[in-house]
Amino acid sequence: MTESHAFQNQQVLTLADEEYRTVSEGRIRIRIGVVAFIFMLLIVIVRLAEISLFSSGEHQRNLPQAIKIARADLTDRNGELLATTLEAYSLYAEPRRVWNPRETAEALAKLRPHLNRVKLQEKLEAERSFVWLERGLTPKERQAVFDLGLPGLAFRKEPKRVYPRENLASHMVGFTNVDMVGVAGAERAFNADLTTDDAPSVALSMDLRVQFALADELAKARKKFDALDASGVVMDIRTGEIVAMASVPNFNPNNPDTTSPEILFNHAAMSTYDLGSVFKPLTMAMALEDGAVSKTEMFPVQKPYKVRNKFIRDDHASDVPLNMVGVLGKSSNRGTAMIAQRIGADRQQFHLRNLGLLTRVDYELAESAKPQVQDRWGEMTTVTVSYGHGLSVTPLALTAAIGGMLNDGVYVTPTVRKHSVVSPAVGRRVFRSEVSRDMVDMMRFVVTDGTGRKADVPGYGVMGKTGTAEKPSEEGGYDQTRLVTSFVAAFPHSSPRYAMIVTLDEPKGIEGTHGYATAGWNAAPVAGQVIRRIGPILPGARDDSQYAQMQSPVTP
Amino acid sequence: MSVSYSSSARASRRMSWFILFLIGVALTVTLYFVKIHAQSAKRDVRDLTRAIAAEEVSVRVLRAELAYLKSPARLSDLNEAHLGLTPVLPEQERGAHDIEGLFPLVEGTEN
Repeated sequence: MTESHAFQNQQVLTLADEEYRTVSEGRIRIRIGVVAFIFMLLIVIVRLAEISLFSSGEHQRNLPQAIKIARADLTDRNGELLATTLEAYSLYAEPRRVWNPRETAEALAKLRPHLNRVKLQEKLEAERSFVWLERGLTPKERQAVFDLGLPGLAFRKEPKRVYPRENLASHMVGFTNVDMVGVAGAERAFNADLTTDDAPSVALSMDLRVQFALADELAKARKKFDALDASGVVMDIRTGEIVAMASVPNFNPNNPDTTSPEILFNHAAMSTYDLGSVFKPLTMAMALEDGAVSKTEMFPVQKPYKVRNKFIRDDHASDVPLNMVGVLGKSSNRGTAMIAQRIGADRQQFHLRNLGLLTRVDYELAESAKPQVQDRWGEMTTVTVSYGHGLSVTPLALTAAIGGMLNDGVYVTPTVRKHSVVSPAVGRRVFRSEVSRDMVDMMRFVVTDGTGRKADVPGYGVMGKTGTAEKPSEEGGYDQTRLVTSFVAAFPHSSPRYAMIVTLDEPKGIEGTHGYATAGWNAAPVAGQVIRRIGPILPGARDDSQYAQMQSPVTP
Repeated sequence: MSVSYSSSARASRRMSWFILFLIGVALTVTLYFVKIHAQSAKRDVRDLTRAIAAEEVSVRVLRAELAYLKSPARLSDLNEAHLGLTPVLPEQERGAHDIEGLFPLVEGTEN
């Protein structure tokens, strides 16, 4: 009995142990499961927190890149658009995917005739993975190429520089290369300013309306007088701002590659000429500044005058002696030579250097030619330079020098950038105020009574000086049949504000000029016509004292 | 006595864990919705940025077209073809001092 009880107890105990073990194992599994679940949950929570709170940068790539204006706009002084950046399409090929290079090249060359078929085929057969075929296509051009359905060709969207004014002001605005780097004109000069992040547009000193009037009149004059080229500058002499600068023929900066290098040449700033008698006012001013002559002194210009065994010739010979005003009005070489000899070579060079005529014009554009100065500056050079021979300068340089002379004697370096209150013009005195005032009157006399009468415009008090120079001959000396004619002008007489120049390269005599091809017959009337058009546009151009006289008939 | 206390503490601990678990889940769900909301906002910003960029491109194109249409040479040609207007000439200008001469006051109209 006792044994039987003991056995029964043992059975119960054994059963109890097995149940406990099973439950214990179950609990352990549950705990492991819970721990694993919590662990996984923690991982998810941590990862979510990481993504939500700390992973801002990683997802930026899903956002579109902000459209960056790769190059800021260029405008004229009134905010008129001159150059802007638009989206264009560039055509490229993956040669390995091109099925038939010959047929592809033929189809492309047919659609885009300016592309060379042979070169296209060479590119398409190249052992390369990528070749550019053409860049800067418009959406319409892109669609036309796309419609060809040629395999292996594709497009990439790229910024493209666009010049909506086309030929107008092309030399001054310049252009960029295919990589949007400025290579000419203002595009080159202000490349850094235009390409910084969020750069604002750059305003040029140019007034588009004045630019058009100047370029239009130059183009008409070039055609009328059958000149090789024509150039002109209009400058605000108080600030140095170049309000207009044109060279004809001009080009379309949207396609500079198709333009010949000669046409890309800005003659106003890059061509140096012996500009002739337009130098005479400077000689007069130098003499007055140095006290070498008096305004009333008479010069015997009616007699032959010899310097170093060479006779000085006068085109408009006078029968009587002339004072300084008369010498300028009649454009007498003899009288100017006599005055120059009084000034002397050293002082003449000093003044010319002061007027910026012995160095390149130091303005923003790279297009600025150095003057051509003779190695030896003897007495004959002093004489010939006094009336504009033997020293070749650009029309721009001369305009700035004349502007300095008439701007109360203060020379202001030219600029193509619009001036603002924060960057006022800085000038340097080159002549005394009294000398400047005398020259203002003397240059007005040239227009009212001298060789520049065809440039007069009532109401604008035009001052000026003609200049006709013979071009150097290939055989030495000068060629009398090949002329460079210029008219340098300023206005208004009552308070000079603007200086300008018109230069014609090899104009021909026509019936309307009685066969003459001198400046008084071509450059002067062209300058007058330009002033007639731009005078009403430009602030401060009107000569109030002349207006009072002009309007008197309407007063009751 | 000690066994019942131990059981109660265990139950309390379990409840705490459960509550913590619920909080964790609630936070996770909240975070999820916040994230979804943020993504939606980002998508809106992205769409708006794209729209602004597209508008800017259009504005630039329109400005360029306007500049082309306003080109002096083009306007001059159109004027010659259709209007025949001419630029203002110096003779046509009048100063402020000329107004009285051109348009004299008529007696009796001063008041």
